[in-house]
Amino acid sequence: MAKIIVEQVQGGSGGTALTVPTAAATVNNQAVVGSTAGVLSHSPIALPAAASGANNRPLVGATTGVTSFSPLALPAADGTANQFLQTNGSGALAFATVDSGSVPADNILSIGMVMSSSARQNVYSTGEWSSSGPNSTYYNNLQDDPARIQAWNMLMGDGYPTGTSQHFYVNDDGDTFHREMIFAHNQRLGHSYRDMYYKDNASTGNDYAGVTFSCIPIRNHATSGSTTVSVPTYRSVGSGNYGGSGVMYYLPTYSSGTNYANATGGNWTVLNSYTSNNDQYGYTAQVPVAAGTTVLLFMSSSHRYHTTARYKDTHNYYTLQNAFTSQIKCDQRMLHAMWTGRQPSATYNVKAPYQIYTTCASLYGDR
Amino acid sequence: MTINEAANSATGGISAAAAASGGGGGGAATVNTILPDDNDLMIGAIFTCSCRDSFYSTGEWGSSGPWTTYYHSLSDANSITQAWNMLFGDGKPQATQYTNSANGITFSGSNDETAGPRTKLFAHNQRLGWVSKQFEYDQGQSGAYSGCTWSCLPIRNKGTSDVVISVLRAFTSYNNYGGSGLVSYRATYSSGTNYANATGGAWTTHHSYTSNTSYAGTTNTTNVTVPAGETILLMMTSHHMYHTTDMYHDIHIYGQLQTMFTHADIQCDLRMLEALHSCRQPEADYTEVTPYEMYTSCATCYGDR
Repeated sequence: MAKIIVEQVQGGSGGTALTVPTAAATVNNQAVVGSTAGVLSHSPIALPAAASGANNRPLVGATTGVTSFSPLALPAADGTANQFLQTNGSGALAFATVDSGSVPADNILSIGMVMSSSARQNVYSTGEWSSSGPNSTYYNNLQDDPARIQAWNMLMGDGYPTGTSQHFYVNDDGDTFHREMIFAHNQRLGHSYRDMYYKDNASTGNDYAGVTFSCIPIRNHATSGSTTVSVPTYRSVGSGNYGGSGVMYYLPTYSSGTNYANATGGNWTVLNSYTSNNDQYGYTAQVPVAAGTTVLLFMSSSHRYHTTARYKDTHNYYTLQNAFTSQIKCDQRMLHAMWTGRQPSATYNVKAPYQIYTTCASLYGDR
Repeated sequence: MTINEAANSATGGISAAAAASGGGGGGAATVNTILPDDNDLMIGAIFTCSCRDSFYSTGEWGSSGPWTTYYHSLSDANSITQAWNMLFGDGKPQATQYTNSANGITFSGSNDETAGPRTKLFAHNQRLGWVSKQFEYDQGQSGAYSGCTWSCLPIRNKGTSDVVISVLRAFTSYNNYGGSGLVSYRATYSSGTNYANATGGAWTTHHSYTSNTSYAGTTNTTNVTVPAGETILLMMTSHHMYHTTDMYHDIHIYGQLQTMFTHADIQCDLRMLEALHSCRQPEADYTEVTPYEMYTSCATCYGDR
């Protein structure tokens, strides 16, 4: 059979003459590429032999010149500023925001609370307060909604959070707690103060001697159902409704689902309201926590007069090893939000704990 | 641009791992995974107290601070240097004596019933600090040296233009020795404005109050400039004001935070706040002006920017 030897090809109508390669490709799948001089050659880059098998897989080279499709598929669209690529572990990449407000993952090895306190009427003269709190009548036994609003604000470190001249009502004495984050050593969390010193010695009747607030965020990591968490407590109790103390929990409501960011409201449920003098009143809270949600367990205690200028405050949770087990854990994101976060809607007479959920989503990541 | 280069560009240059595995080039990105990003939903400051001359016997101090005459009104440079050291819990940070002596005491953070050194507090909403906080000093002094509080609020301007903010504060004061001041520190840099390049800086006095406010306190509003792309340190002092026998009141507030931080580029610098709370300054000494070193410590511990 005769061979036709062609060194050049030329397009019609006097087009540029192109010189064809004089040798075969050195490896399979090398494409023929051009040059400005019209000389065609085999590219040293060899294409993959087959299609990628999935969208958005980029070509990657090798020192041999043979390319292949990356096993990693790029995102189909750009992300937002400062996002990073995140893999799903199966070859798919996506843009994601770094969880910058990183706190430890919820774990039964870390159980904490936020705590604040006030000397109340044991502040000398200006700054003292008694039956009237930041908003209205304040009952430390948490018996009504106004008292619960005031208690939450005081726990967060400012009973009058939009105030311009008003007192804070908490953190009003050198010895008091000021929105501190405190953790359990093992099975107990809190304190049993036996020598609080108030020179003012103003409330020997135990109505207004001083108050302490705390809150533990409890999260149920289960995927379905609800668990009733049993949390035993001890707290000191003064006289009557004013000097009493209480235990309650907060359930948010959501616009949809149960993500922090979707919280739009919520309500307190009072579990126990006690009004009789007691240095160490015991009560076991039963807190229902639905799967995928975080509930705020709140406790108040009263500082009890003992003898001249000497007061006691009992305020602790115990047998935590039984309460926090399996899927029930202290919500570390919420704990840090309660310690650090602002609530721009908070004011002295508005119930706004739900906003600590949206603040938590913004600062420490939604879920 | 290759496909790989494009991918690196799209991720903001997260290329260290890619480069290590033979991938594309580009600069490495620093990821802050310890703290939340600066956000108006989180405004904090550090606070430290001393009961000063309300300390019984050894350990007390009056007009003489860790170095020289100390005016809590921050009316001179030497007082500001001493205030900075005491804010950090140690007026003599290179002391070699560790006994209860004039050269061994820390001057702050060592007193009964006061906030421990560098206590970190956060705002619930629009206010940060305390109104009329009561201190009970059985060794109470009724004059200028009864006790004092320091605080520092780091403010960052993330924008490209200087921003003037309005700082409203409330405080108690007695006189120059027991006064109240507001100063800000601006660092200087070897180049740019990254924390790591801070090599010096200077304090600006915005308000130095030397009169008696009584225990009711008073307020002041001052404009403070926050330079573009920089973090300034706002330091405030207040006096523990005698009220009645053994009872003292302290007012120490940053107020109207919703206004102070209303500009979109102005935020509490959360990296610097954490550095103020936790970091050492190896060059700090009782006569030295070393706040710039807090910037380099911040870069090392919490990420440069």
